[in-house]
Amino acid sequence: MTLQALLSGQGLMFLFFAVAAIASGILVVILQNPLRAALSLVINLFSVAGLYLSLNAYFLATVQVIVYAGAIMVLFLFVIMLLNMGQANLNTSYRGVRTIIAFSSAIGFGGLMSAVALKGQPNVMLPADAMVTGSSAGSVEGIGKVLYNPNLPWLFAFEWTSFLLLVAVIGAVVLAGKRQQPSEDKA
Amino acid sequence: MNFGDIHAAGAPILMAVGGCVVLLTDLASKRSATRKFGTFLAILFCIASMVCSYTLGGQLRTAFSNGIAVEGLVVTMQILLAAIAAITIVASSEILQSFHLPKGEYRALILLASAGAMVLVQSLDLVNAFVGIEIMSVAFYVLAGYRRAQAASEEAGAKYFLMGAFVSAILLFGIALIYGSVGLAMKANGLELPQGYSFTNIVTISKAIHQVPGFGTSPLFLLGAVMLIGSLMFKAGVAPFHMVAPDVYQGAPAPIAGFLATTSKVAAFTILMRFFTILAGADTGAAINVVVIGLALLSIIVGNTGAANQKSIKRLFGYSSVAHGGYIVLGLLASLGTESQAAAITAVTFYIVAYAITTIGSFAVVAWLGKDGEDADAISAYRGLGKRNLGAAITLGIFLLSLSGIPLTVGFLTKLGVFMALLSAGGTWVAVVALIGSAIGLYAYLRVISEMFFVDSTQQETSSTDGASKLVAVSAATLVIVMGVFPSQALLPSFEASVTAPPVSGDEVK
Amino acid sequence: MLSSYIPVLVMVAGATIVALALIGLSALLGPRRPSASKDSAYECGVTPIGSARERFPVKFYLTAMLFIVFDIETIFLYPWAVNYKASGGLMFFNLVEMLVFVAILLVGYIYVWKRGGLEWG
Repeated sequence: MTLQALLSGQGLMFLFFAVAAIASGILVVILQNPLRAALSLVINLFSVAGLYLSLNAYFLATVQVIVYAGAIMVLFLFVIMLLNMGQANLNTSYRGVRTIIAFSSAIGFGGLMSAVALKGQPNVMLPADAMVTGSSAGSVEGIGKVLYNPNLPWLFAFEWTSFLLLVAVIGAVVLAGKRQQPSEDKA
Repeated sequence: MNFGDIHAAGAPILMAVGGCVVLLTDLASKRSATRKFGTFLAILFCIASMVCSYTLGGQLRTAFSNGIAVEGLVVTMQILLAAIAAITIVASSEILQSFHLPKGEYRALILLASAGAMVLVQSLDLVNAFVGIEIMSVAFYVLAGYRRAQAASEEAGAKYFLMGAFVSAILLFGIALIYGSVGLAMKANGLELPQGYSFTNIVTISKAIHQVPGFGTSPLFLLGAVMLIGSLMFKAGVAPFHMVAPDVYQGAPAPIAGFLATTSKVAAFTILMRFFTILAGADTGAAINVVVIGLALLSIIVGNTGAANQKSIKRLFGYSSVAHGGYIVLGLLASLGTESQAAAITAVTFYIVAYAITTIGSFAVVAWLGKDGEDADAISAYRGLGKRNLGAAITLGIFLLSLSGIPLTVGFLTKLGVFMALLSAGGTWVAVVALIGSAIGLYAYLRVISEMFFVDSTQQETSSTDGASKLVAVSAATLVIVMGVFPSQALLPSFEASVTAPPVSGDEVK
Repeated sequence: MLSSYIPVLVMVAGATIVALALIGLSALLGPRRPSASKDSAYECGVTPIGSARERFPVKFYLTAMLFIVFDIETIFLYPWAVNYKASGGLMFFNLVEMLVFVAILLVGYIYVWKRGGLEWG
């Protein structure tokens, strides 16, 4: 992204949400209290939704708010409540070989990604535009036109997604549901 | 979309519909008299899926707007996957009964996991591949932790899930980077998207690699490709992403472990083979070669040395699967050379089929010798087995010899095929290192054989009730010998077809 | 397109300002005389019993997981529904494809129901 693009309305919006996402992401990692870390994660997820908006990915922004900031966050909070984690139970000392490995791989990966991004072409665009006519590729309408079109390859993936969700339902009940009594040994 | 499309995707559809039907039938029935019926129904769908694959024949056909492509290689793998599912369902009746595990869900998950693996195997579009791999993986996590009452099984499921979820994210990231790099490169160079193909299609990626100068070495694409290859290697259990494999195979009951070990390898290596066919002869710098050689040799060394000092036979098989993953990767490496490509694809396909038979058989022996559903896991339990139960000892011995690659077993022929392809691709030093690894592996397997035949033990004979596992083990052992004595590659003509009609040929890209 | 989100932005900004102002003003202007009974948790005027942090039963978790799965189903319905009226000749096909999708998930729903995943007891 050029400097000019960054200083436009959309660019400023991107910058604002990018800073918010990074700041809240750091807070998630360093905050001692698990509930506070989880709430920082909420801010982080909303900031990422803002990033999607500023990049014209409207549908993705909606999904981010509904699924991640809504449903996934509830799961996170449930786990924290479930384990009843207080500060005392947490091992939060930033020392040792593990921490060194974690930090160096994080920095290494970040460096690799920035190097690749800097070396790539500056004109970032959405290749999906080629397949959608009439509406923006990232909008809810645009996604719908592509996803459910029998003449495009993604209908196949869409239908299989329902089987993925079915497996998830079975898995949730099998692993977290009531244990079956040995006496009512079903067929 | 028409009937032909549905026929092409028929094998996974039948498996998935079978999963739903089995689940609903199980919910509707109350009495244990229907237990056999559930197994029967599940196997019926597996057979239907095999027949559907078989009727597709060896010729290349694409369906669902080029989202999937079916040819000889895919047909072979689909039949293999359906067979693995059917055998697993038959061999699992004992453990399901002993541990009072829910049966309908189990059969449904096996069928759905195989359906996901088949989607992965036949997909030409990376988006479809991702959905397939997720269906397979989520079912795997549940199956690994299926025996909830046992801590080891729960641990296996949790570890597998955490690592697998992380790797799925990396896979998706890699696909996104490839998508972005292909789109940017094609627009910047004024290339048209091939008619009816998407940017994530392997055919489009092939066009970008072969027609855009410098694309193969562009950092965005290389990073994406390495992420894609690396995460698929994790799904196949290749080192250094192998840490989970021994834990999972030890924690899960033996038939499930056999299913996880084989299905994941069949599916992940087949899609990797497809991806590698488009990299063949392309200028991708040294990066991909270095990564692939590194992964292969590391797995062979880590797998074989790890197997050498195990006390648990299931962990031994876990490390062995890592090592064999390494040999298959060597075959993939050979497929990167245009000269050796055809031989390498045949060798890898044959290796995967033979590995699947051997592994299913080995885990079946572990279940067969177990008592009340508990696997005979400790290697010390096999001490003096030759005196107590000669049949079981010989069966296990055949599998161990095949895993180590001794002549007259199929394991020898498969290793030979991979090494020949590798030598013709010019990878002499790689082959030498791999052979040293095999020598270490030989020690690991012979150690168990000597325990069985040359050490006396005072243990009492345990009479097993697991007839199904016995049947599976003995027939697999027979196959291992028959395929090892006769040049069985010639018996499976579809391998040839898959080489003559690779999913991406030069003309098609135009 | 993005300009249609300006009212949302204004509302977010307004909400943030009001919230910050209320907290900030009360901190600035309000008198503070803390005492032991004031600092304890407010439980309808009754003396609190034990910690407010209680362990949640695992049942909540199963419910939450099932919620996410069906939440994602809704996500797939959204762009489909937006385009449905405009799909013209493909209207019937679009209906069938969504019915297939929902039917497969219905199997999951029946399964959860029969296995007692939705029961509390």
